[in-house]
Amino acid sequence: MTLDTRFALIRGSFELNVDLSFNEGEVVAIMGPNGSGKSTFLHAIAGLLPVTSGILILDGATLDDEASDAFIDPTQRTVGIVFQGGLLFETMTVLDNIIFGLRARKIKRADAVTQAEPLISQLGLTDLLERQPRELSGGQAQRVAIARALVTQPKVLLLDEPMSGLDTSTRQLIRQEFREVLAGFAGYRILVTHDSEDAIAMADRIIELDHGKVIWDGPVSQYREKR
Amino acid sequence: MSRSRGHRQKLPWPIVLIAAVATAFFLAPFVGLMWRTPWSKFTDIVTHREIRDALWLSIETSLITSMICCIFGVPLAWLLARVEFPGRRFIRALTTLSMVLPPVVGGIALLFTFGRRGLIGQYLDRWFGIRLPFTMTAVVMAQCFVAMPFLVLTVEAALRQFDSRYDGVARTLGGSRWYVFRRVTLPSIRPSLFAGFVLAWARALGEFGATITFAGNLPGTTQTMPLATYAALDSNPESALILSLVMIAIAFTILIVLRDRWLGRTDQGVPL
Amino acid sequence: MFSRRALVIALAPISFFTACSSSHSQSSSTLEVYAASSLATPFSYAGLAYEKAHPGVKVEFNLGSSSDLARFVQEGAPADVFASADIANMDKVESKDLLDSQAVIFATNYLEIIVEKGNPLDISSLEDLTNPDLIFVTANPDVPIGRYTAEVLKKAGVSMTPDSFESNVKGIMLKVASGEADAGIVYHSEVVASDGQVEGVQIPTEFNIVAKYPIGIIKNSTNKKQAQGFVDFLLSPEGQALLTQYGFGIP
Repeated sequence: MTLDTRFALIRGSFELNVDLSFNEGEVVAIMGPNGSGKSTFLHAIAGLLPVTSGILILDGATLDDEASDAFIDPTQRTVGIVFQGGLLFETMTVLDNIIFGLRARKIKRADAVTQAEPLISQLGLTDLLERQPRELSGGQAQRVAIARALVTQPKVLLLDEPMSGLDTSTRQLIRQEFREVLAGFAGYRILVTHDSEDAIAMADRIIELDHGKVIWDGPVSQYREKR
Repeated sequence: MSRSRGHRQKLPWPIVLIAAVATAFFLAPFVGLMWRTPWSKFTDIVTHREIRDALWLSIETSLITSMICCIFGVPLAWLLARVEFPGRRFIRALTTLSMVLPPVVGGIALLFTFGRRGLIGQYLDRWFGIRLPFTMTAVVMAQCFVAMPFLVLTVEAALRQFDSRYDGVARTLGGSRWYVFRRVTLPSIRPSLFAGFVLAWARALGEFGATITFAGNLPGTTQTMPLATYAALDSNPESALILSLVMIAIAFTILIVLRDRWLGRTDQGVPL
Repeated sequence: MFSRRALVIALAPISFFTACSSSHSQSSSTLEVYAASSLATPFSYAGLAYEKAHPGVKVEFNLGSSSDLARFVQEGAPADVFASADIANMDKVESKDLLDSQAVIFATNYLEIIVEKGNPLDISSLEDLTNPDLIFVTANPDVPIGRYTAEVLKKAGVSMTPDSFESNVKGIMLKVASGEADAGIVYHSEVVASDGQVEGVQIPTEFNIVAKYPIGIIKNSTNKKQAQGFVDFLLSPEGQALLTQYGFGIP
């Protein structure tokens, strides 16, 4: 089973052009300078931006096909996204944030809490459930954001600059945690970062983007040698 | 400026002077009003039937107006903030137009559109027997015309500031557009929505020019407090004074009580 | 050096205000006439005629309801002449000792029912106005036309509730001419001035009133010579002819 992304996406004067294929088993880090199209790429997979031409197919199901006008709404794609800083909903508690996806599917609150329980304890969030998002540290917020994204059991987990905003010491602490969390997730994992240390520490495969084009694609071992 | 000795810096006196003049300018009319008020007759006059009618009519119509402004204003604000459609700038300018127009002009426009012989009014009359001028409905319409921009602009500004990525996250989690709006967007713009509601309400409460031109002036039906005050000015200056004072008291109370609540919320770090 | 500049900036607004108020005293060639709105048409022509006969003099009109104007004068507005549509409002000014000399009646008027052109509802008497479906507008009771209307209705034994109390006679004219109101009661002079925009329906003389228009010179006027000149003009055969041309009566 693969995630095939063969499309072009034009936003104003910027054009993102990719022809990539992903496997469930690998953690992929997409790197590149600002404006290279990394975030646009994630938005396209999540369905927050439609492609201008080309296709996006997940496990054989077409998510976006410009030619045949097929487009699956982000609400229907089984894609979870974690933005930098976590982007937790400020007006609700940590628990409500986590079970948001389940409640959106009309699952009763009690059932939703039960369903989310294993994930909550796995990520060590049990003590934080009644807190407000603004009370959390950077690292804690990130973990809540991941729990929120994973609770709906998506097939794809996208992370947009997950470590940005964290100070160096927290980063190093979190890197290991992240690796474990990512390892524990069975689906496609794609993270976007501009920090090569983060990429090397967490990914199996690295793709480099520049000005909307893929300029490098290979295993992390090769990347290390290249540097 | 001045050198700081010890802990306190001297306040720059020219700025203080100018600010003092400005404050005096705002304060003086209220002091003048209270000085001329016949305090001993206060309860007598306030309980007068016409005053009570005007008071009640003003509160009733302004509240209805504020709610209509919310119901229609929020979707408009959302559209203006989030969707790029042809003519957006034009629509936005149009919504703000009534804020800049003298209210009487708005009243005239309403009269010649919805009046009995108006562009739309003539069909309302001919087909449905609906006549708008001289009714309480006309009062609400006049108030909506001048008050809605306040709500639309406040809410639009808040929606623009609100990171659209929140929407994105919520939708990937499976939330329908309405669910996301209800549980994510709306709660976070609540302070601004509230502020917009209050502004619209205050504007509706004080509306005069458009009301008197379009709705007319009839005690009990269309004579709101500002109209009653104006009517009382010649025949019964004491009533006019008291009405003015009541309106000031109401406006002041609204501003103080609700501003605290509003400020309180933003202090909690709710994203506006 | 900073403080001197700041002083200039701080005092600038104050000097602006004093400059504004001092500009009034150099208006020896301008005549401020406060007049009831029903006098609009004849007075504009009277003003032109007077300016022609007295080169160098400019006649400025402030038109409004007599009650508004009386209030302005009482609060110290810089009027030279005050022409009211009723004696009551002139009395207000006189009782505050603001008149230079006794006011003089210079014109009269009487009331008439107005309806839309063509009289679609076939209104022919005051009784017809009591129809609850009919939209009838009048003016606030302090405005002369409002008081006169109430008087006439009382005399005729007709009682009804108007649909709106406008702020002056022009407001009534507008509502009826535009078709928003079915009927109103205004001065006969307004019907003449409307030039066919509205239709008049006679009120029987036994119910009608005679509106007396007094005119007076304000005590604090800085231009009493011209003020008296204007009043004399209105009372002269030429002035009186102008007034009758536009529907007024001679005292």
